[in-house]
Amino acid sequence: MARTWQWFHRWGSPPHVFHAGRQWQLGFGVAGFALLMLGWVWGLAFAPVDYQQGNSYRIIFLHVPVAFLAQSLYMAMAAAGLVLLVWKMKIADLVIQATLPIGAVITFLALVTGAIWGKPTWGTYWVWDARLTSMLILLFLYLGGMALRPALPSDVAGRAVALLLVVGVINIPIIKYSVEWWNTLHQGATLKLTERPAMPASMWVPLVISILAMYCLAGFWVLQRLRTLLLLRESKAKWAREWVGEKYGL
Amino acid sequence: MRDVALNWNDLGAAMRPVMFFALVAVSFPLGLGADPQLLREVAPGLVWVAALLSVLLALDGLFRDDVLDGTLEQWLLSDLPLSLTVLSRVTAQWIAHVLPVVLMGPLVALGLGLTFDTALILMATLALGTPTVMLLGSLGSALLAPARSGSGLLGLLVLPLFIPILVFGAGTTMAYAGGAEVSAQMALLGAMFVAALSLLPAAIAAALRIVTGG
Repeated sequence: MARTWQWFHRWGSPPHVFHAGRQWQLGFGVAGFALLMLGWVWGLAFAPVDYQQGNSYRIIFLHVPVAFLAQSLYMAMAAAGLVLLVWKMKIADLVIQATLPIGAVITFLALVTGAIWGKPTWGTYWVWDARLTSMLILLFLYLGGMALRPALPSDVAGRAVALLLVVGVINIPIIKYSVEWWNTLHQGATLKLTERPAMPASMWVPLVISILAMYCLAGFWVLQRLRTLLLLRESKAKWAREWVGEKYGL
Repeated sequence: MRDVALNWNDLGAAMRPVMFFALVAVSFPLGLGADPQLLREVAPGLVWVAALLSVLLALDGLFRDDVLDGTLEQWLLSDLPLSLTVLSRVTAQWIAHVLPVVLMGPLVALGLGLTFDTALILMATLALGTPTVMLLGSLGSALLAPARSGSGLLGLLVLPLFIPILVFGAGTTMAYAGGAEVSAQMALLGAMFVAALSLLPAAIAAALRIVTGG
């Protein structure tokens, strides 16, 4: 128990997060880049051609990782929001601030790659399918979170955003469920993929590698923003001055 | 009660959402064309979208004056739990601003060619659904209470949260018009209302505490 709390306190301290975060960032960056190269070269050049979709299915190696990530990042932010509301750990606010725009971009990317994939397979860029629609709503949830902060006085904005995210995360399953109900009520499966054979390993292994790579890269990106935000917030603190002084010889 | 009475004193403001609702509803036939078949098909969704927009109007600045003039601090100091005070405030606002929309809804629906029975079901979904929407929206209002320009942002924050209610509210009515049994959907709308009623007042109170720095 004591160890856990110690761990908790250490990751609440800005200099520790800043310096240890640098190591983690390096690790994530290297691992993410290597895995992405491996997954993409394997997936794009060596994985077999899909017998129904031809080569167009290969966008899966970008689309599925970002779609996974879009939802995971929201969950991660909501968890950080809970930490901020319950334990009032200030670092959690910065984690949210660092993650929000990244999550929004990733969600947008998931929608765009999905649309690009939809054109050759379904014959249209967009259908009001349950999954597409709930993804679009997720994008709006991200944008709402981003828009709230600048509208509020800065001392309360962090916790307000956190509360919004926590309520949003409770709503996500309800939204998903209702959208699925709505979709099955209204349209038959006209534009669904037809029966697809289970993926052979030569397709799903590079896919899993790409997903892992994307998570690592997201970790890299979030840490980059988090450390920059820390430096900005703590620009008067001794450790921050020392680090900048050392690095840039000021 | 005092809130309801105050709202009635300012009848003009209280009538704004329902007038807005009527105008939006009238705009749809003008925009879509007067084809009765088409209008009948889209009527439930249309009435529901118009109702959601008028709820947004009713939510605008719900807690802003309370934060600005210090009423909220009195609430915080009072013996009543803040969530109860908030609940009564939201209820009063719903009665004064949204209830007229609920009553007006079936009239609009009849005008769009729905049968009497379907219009009654529509009214039932509105009566069950708009309180939930009102509570969800009040959370957004509470978060935006100290914001200078809240109204545009409110829609962005809370409309995504309204979606389940919109889906079930309009969907139930459409299913009924199509001849299906709808008690299960009604029960779901009711369940969402009960869940919202039990959880959201506390969340709204928490939001008000946060934005006042308490």
